[in-house]
This record gives sequence, C-alpha cells and structure tokens, in this order.
Amino acid sequence: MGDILDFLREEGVSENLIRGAEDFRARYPVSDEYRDRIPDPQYYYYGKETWEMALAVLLAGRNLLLAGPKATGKNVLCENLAAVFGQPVWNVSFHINMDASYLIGTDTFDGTKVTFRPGPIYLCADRGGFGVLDEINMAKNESLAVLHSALDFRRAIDVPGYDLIRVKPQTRFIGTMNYGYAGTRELNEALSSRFAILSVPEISETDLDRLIRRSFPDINPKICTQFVKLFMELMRKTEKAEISDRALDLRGLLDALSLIREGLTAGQALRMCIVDKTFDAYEQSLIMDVVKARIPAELDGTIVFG
Amino acid sequence: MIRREYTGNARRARNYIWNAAGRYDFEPPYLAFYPTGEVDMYVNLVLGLAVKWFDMDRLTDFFDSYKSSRSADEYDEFLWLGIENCVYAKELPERPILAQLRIDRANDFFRIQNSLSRQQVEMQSMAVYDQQAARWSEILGRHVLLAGKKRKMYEFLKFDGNLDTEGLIARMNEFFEEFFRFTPGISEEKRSFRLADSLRRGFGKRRGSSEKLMVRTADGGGITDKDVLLTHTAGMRYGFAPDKKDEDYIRACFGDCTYSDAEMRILEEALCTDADAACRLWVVKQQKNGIEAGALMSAGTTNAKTSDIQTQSGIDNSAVSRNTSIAKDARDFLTKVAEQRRRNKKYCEKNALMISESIKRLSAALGTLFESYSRHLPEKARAGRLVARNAYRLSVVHDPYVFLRDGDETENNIRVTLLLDASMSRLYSQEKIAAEAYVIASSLERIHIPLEILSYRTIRGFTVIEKLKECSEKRADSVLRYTAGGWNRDSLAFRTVGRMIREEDLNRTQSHILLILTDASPNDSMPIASGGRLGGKEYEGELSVREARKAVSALREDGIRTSAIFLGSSAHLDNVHQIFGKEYVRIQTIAQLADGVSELIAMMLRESPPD
Repeated sequence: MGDILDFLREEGVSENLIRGAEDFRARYPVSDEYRDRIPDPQYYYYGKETWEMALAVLLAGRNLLLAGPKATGKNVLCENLAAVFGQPVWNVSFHINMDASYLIGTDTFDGTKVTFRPGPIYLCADRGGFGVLDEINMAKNESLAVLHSALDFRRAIDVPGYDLIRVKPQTRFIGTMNYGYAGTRELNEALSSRFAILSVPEISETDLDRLIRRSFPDINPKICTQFVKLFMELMRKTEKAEISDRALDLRGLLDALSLIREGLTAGQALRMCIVDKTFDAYEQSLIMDVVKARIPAELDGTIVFG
Repeated sequence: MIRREYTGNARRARNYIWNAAGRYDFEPPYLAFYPTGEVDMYVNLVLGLAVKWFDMDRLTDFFDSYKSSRSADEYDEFLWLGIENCVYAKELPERPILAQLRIDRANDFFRIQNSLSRQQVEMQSMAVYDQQAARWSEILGRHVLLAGKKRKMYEFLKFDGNLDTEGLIARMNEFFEEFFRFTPGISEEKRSFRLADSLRRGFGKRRGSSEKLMVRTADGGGITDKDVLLTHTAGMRYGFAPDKKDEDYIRACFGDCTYSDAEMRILEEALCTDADAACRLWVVKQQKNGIEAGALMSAGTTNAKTSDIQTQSGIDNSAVSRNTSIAKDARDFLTKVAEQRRRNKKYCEKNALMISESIKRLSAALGTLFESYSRHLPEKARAGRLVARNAYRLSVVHDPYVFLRDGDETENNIRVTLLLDASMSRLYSQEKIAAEAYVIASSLERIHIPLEILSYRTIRGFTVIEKLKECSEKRADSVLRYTAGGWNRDSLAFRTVGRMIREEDLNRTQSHILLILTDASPNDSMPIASGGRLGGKEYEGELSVREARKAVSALREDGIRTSAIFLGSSAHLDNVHQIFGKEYVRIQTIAQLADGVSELIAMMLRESPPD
C-alpha cells in the first residue's frame, strides 16, 4: 500500500498532526537492524477523530490505551500508528499467567553461566519503538506493577541485580483492551492513570463500506452494501447479547470475501469465516439466520466481483 | 414488566423480528412457526419490518378500534396481508434477498396446505384463505383465480410501498368502508403493551388456522405483582414462644435437627437474643433420599408408600405418629415439596439450553475472577527466579533446573455459601430460584470453588436452616429440592448462617463469600421481642429491614463478604439497598445471571480482596 501519511491526508486528518509525525520520523530514524519491525499495514484504520486523538497523545509523549469492543480495529490502529511514526513494534500478547519476568526479562543459563535474557518491554525501552501491550487487561494487575515506572514520568525500569534502563525518548506504549471479553478484568487505577485512554468506537457503516471497497476495489457496490449491513446486524445482536462476539469478526468478513473471490459460494465462505467462529450449535443457527436474511447462499465470485 | 423467557426456536423467531425491526427494546409476545415447529422466517421478518417502518402505537390504536367486532380476527388477517405487501416494497431495495425469501414462503404455504387434514382445512376462514392463496400464487407466477368482489379486494390489499403510517391507516379505513361498510372508531383505551399487542393481533389471532402456529411463549417462574405483599392478617400472627408441639411439627416436616440438643441450646443462647429472643432454630441436612423421605418417616404417615420407607429405615417416632394433626399438616407440606421438586426439574429441563449457556458464561467469568485471587504454585524451570541454595547444581551436576517460575497449578482459599430465601413470598418464583441456584452452583463446581447451599424460612417461631448441598458434594442437583413456604426472619437466619460458616472454619484459614438470593422483604409472624419478651411490634416493614441490616453488618465485620442477588419486586428495591448497601445485583431473567453474579463477586473481591 502507499504511504500511510497520504491516506491520513485523504481522511482529512489535521495537517499539523501529520507534520508532527513526519518530524518524529526524521528525529528518530530506525537502524537497519530493526527496520523490518516497522509495520507495512495491510488495512487502514478509518475514523478521523480517533486518528487525531491518537496522534496527539503519542506526539505529546504519552502512552495510549485503546479500549473498545471486539472488531473496532484496535490492533489495526496500533499497527497503523507505528507505521505513521515509522517506529519498530514490540508486541506483547498479555495472558493470565503473565508476570514481571516475562515482560522485563528473566535469568537463564547459557551453558556456562547465569545470564539475563531481556523481555519485550526491556527491549522496547532500551532500543526504542512502540510497545504494543495487546489485551493488557488479560494479565493480573500485580504483574503489571513493574511497568509503572516505565510508563510514568520516571521513564525508567530498574532491573534488580542488573541495571537501570532509561526508556528511549521515541518509545511509546500502546495498550489495547476489551472490557467485555471472557478472561478480561478491570485495570487498576495505578495503571490506567499512566495511559491516555481512547475509547475506540465501533466501525461505522460508511467506514466499513470504504474499508471493504479499498480492500476489494472490484466488488459490486450493491453487494458490498449487503455485506456491510450483515456485519452491522451482527454487531447489534452482539451488543444486545443475543450472540457472543465470536462471530463479530471483521477479519472474518474480509476473509470471506477473499474466499468468494477464490471460488467458494457466499454460503460456504460466510459459514467458515463468520458462522463457525462460534462453536455453539445454537448460536451458529442464530448467526446463520441473520446471514440467510441478507446474503443468498449461492452467491458466487462472478456476481460479487466485477 | 414481566419479561418473558424464550428458548430454542422461540428465541430464533424473536431474533428474526428484532433483526428486521433493527431494535431490540420490545418483547414480541407472539412468534410465527410452521406446524412442524420450524421458525417461519418470512412472517417473522414481516412482523419486524412493520415495527421498523411504521409507528406501531398509532397502528395499535387502529387495531384496537375494531377489536370488539366478532370478525376482528378475519380483519386482522386481511390487513396484515396488505401490510406485508407494503413493507415488502419498502424493504426490498435495502434487502434484495427478500424477493427470494418471499418466493420460498409462497412455496411453503402450498406445501403446508397440502399436508393439512380435512378438519384443519374446514376450520380455516375461506375468505382469508382465498386472499392468501391468491397472494402466494401470484408471487409464484401462477394464475390468480379470483373474480368479482374477491378480485377487487385482492387488488385493494396490495398496499403501496410509499405509504407512511398515516397513509396506511387511511388505506385501512378505506378498506373497511369499501368492503365491510363500516368506519372503525378510534379507541380511547390506552394499553400498556401497545406494540406487543399490535404484533400479537397482527398474525396472532388466526382463528382455527393451522397454517402456522403463533405460540405464546411465556412460561412460569417470574416476579409478579402477587409476590410483593405478604402481611400479617388476623389469626396468622404467632404471638407465643414455640412449644413442644411446634417442635414436633418442625421435626415432622424437616426431619431431625443436625445438631444435638446441647449444641442447639448453645446456638440459641448465642443467636436468639434481642429482637429474636424467644425464637428457636432448627438446622437440617438434606437427607440422602431427600428431605421428604426423612421427614415423612417422622410424620408417621399411614399410606403404604411412606410406611415402606418407615419400615426400611427402622425409625420409630411414635410421639409424632400419635399426633395425627401434625402428621396431616406435615404430609401436606411434604406432598407440596415433592410436587415442587418435580416442577423445578421440569422447568430446568424446559430451559436446559438457556441454563447450560448461563453455566458456561458464568463459569468462564468466575473462573477468570477467582484466578486473579489464586496463587500459582511454583515449579522448577530452566529460567526464572534463581534459587541460590541450588545454584551449585549448575556446575556440579549440570542440572539447569535451579530456577523457579509460576506453574500452571493454582490454589485458592475461597469458599462460597449460597443462601436461598425459602419463604412464602417466593411462591411464584420457586422454579426460577431453583434454576438460578443450580446455575450458580454448577458454575462454581466447574471451577472447583467449594460451595455450600442453604435455604431458610421461619415456621411456628422456628427459623429452619436447611442444607441443600454441602461443600463436599460434587453435583448441584439437590438444589432442585428447593421449595418455598413459611415466613422469613432474615436477621436471625443471617446470623445463624454466619455462625455455621465460622464453626466450620474455626482457624479462619479461608475467605468466605455469602451470596443471598432474596426478595429483601423480611417478614415473620413472631413479633419483635422487647426486653426478652414478645412485644407488640410486628417483624415486618422498616423494623425487620433494620434488623436484617444489623445482621448483614455483623457478618461483614466478621470478615464474611455478604451480598445479595435480588429477585424481588421493584417495591422492595429500597429495602435491598438498605440491607446490603451497594453490594447487590438485581436479576430478572436467568440470562442476566452470568453478568450479574460475576459483576457482584468482582465488586466484593475488589472492595475487600481475600487474604
């Protein structure tokens, strides 16, 4: 895809912010060693206001917490932001058993002596870049206490027995979280106060339509509308807790369109990429009902595209 | 508002209507099915689309205007044919698949007609059938065999897609003038479930029709206005301290007390004080064959079945047997218990899907919550925290496992007690309470949190605590024995349960959570004691709430995290707030249980985390 800054200009994002990002790129060049960590986004995030808020937070040197339900594009936005600022990404997927040693580093035996093996937060702080703390509220709050000094004004990590690591000026941490997910918990005040929290809105009908058309430029516009409306109906059903959010999968919808292009019928593709995302047979029937009331099962690539 | 619960195909039908309407804030009371039980997708979509495109309150006014007519059902059928045509035209550009769905529905109409019995056909309104057959025939591209007035009506009922609510009403008025020579009056009556009523009457009153079944899906187990009030009517007040006769009655109904006489004396001396002085306590354990069996033995019933039980058990309770009045009362009670148990089971079977989904969701949510408060047991590893005293093994025996890391195994120290209000005020919600307790118990069982289930009620001055499930029991089925009956002296019951919890954990090594399923309406026939004697003030209203609040505060001070799952009427919302503060959650349907209970426990753990 082209330069993401052009995309931001097309979206009407404030020129000041875009220039700020360009300055940031120029001020903090990335060494060749980490250049392959700078993402080349496959999808762009749509939503001018969200873009502007996120860019302002990162330009001001603050950390960003993207909160929002599933399928709102939090991870796409993280990746896009790193691309905009031209910084390498250090991904940390949080889970329940996450602890300080996983984040910062741990002792290990290299065959001759006990050495320190740095974790992703250590590397991000030390080498510079964007640390993406994915599903940050999956971890226990007490495990995250080690991040406090890195995230606040101190911008340092004291690794007991080793060294005091100063967080590089170009380092930013971007957390993502979903309140309602099974397995998630509330962030405590100490942690949430160290982030600027941006509630990522659900994708609008217009933005989803643009996203699909950008990804599949040859899609029949009328059929594209039906897929958009299908997704919106599933979203509403999820909001009302009639179905779980497993089937509310934006990636799944785009995958389904790719499969239709490859030769599957819409019925087959949507079953694989949307309906069967949930393993509960009854829930599958509820989702299938929504699909059947919107998209003909026998629809194929020759009608959908071209 | 009484929320109806839907399961299986009913939920699917309801989702079709909501989906088409684009809103979920109304309860469709009637849903469309084929005689085979399958969901009638198209008709449900039309019901939903009517909500989407029209102001249903105004349409309801119109439908109400002729509802007293003997032919109201028939009129409804005609008008909904017209509305179907109208919403189809409106929606088609936005939902092109509707054309195919309409053809499928037309094919289904004729398929079903062919399979009807002669009697079923005879019961149909022929005027309606003619119009329907013509409509579906035309959709299938067949010739429409209508002439004269019928043909004229057929054409008239193709309501245009450009009509708005006002236009539609005008068109329907014209229909009545043209074909039935009357003008429906505007009803003055305002109905509370206006939208619901329109839909019901829309495709609902299909007199004698077998083409589709409009199934009323409401089922039992809910809060009704009836369970709001329970007052001490004349003759019901129990103004005397319980005596031996009362004790015999309690024994006959519930079986022997779990504790010895000496233990009970200690318990009563400690707990039956102040406002509860002169009250008595009775703690019973669920017997292996159920409380009925054990108690029936005590009741000394004479029928063959219970005599057999008595013989097998070898228990002789002649003192009670001699008292035929007690035996009869106990027998009535026990018959009720047995009957209720069957109802509870039936309710759970009927709602099996919803219950299993709730268990799945609640156990997932609680699993995550409790995991936060559990400790990971350390295990040896090649990396992690170096155990200095074992470091020599690296170079001496080349053992790299000298580090410790958090292992997958966890331990937690939490124990939950679920206390069910089993008083008469819960009469109309028994099945629902049993099912909700079953969901909670099964969810906790899945994540291996020890759970004890108790119920409480007060009869004849005795506050009876019944153990429905012990911590050691794996299965939660015994909770289905829950039956409501009697009064509820909450203050005494709460204090007793607190004492029982502490008795079983004398060294205070565990963290305790007490969840009380209640309607927050403490009420007992035994008055409040004053100065150790029975005074004149009733145990009800503000006074009883105050006593219950004191008991809850005492439990919390003792370190037992106490909160309520409120299943009562709105009239008692203030009570629950007074008794439990903010630590309560209101549940109106089982589907809300998972979110409600997990939020409640999260709040409790956050306010006072376990040690």
